[in-house]
Amino acid sequence: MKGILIYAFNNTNINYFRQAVWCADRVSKYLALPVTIVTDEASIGDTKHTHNIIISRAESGGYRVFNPSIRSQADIWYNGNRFQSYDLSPYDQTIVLDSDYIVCSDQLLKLFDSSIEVTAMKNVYDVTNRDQFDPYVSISDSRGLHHYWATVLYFRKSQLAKDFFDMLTMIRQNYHHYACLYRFRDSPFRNDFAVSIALTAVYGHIPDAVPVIPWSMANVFNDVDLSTEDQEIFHLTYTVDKKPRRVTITGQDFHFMNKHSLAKIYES
Amino acid sequence: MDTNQLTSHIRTRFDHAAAKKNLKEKYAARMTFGHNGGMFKSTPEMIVFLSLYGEQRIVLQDLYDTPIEVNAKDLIDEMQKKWYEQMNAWLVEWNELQKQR
Repeated sequence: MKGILIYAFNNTNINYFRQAVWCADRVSKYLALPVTIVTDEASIGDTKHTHNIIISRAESGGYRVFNPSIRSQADIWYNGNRFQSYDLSPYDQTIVLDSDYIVCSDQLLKLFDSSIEVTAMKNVYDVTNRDQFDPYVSISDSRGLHHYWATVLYFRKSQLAKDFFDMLTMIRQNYHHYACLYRFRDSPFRNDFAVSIALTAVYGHIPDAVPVIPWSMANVFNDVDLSTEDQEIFHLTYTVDKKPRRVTITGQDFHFMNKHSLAKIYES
Repeated sequence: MDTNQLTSHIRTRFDHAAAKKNLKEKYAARMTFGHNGGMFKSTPEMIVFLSLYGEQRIVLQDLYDTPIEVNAKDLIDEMQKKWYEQMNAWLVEWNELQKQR
């Protein structure tokens, strides 16, 4: 059985559950797959939905700024549950999706056709052509470990995938140690970093041996504003040299990082 | 879109360079597909190569460097279908893009 797993724990800034339901509705529409949302009672509140729910305890990854225009307002980031995916997923083949990944096509279905046991995104590009993600090549300048993105994480139940999630659990529990080892900040906890270390380890510490998702992820930085006409065509507005620019996306999945702008879409 | 959004949208210049790059990435992704447990990408080079083998069974290296046994005709049919569909769709979108201001 194939399906999608999404984590969603609200904080005072972002209604992650509503964002996840919106994302899950799009999965149902474009991929026709069942979706399970891992959340807690407080996050669900009175939000109506038609998806499977697993109740879990939110794991904090520390504090982060959610609104780039108000840097003094940091909030708790409940992003620390992903290591539970192997045990929580009711599916034989699972794609773990970030709730800010906007599904607009059936592209992700291709992941189920390969014999790969666990994989993630490595190659990304900036939809606004401003090369905002060029620094995200390595998680550590000094140790040369590739940066893999936890935004789309595929696994099939197997020994290798189990080893990967066991490794992820160990990294989660000893994050400070790995932060010192690979020389990155130990707070907040970053799933991308933990996934990068675990993937590299289970594929034998040979960075180029990691079988990554064989296409590039469309990424949109958190200074971009989003609007839509009919939830099919998305307009992105941003600035280049202080001049306003826009580009349109249709029929193409993308990872949209400006949570407040995304909220305007799913709350409307 | 409300009136303010519409006004702002009209005043904002369409980014042709970004749109062109997005189309290229979008259709590059769509050329990828799974076949016989392997992952392949439809390319003109692969289509020409496969055409040499008729209906023979051959072993090819997939995108994950895994050897996969395939029927050359089955794979070329899938690759050609993918190629024609996606290139035509890309052309349609490209022509639309030229009209954007």
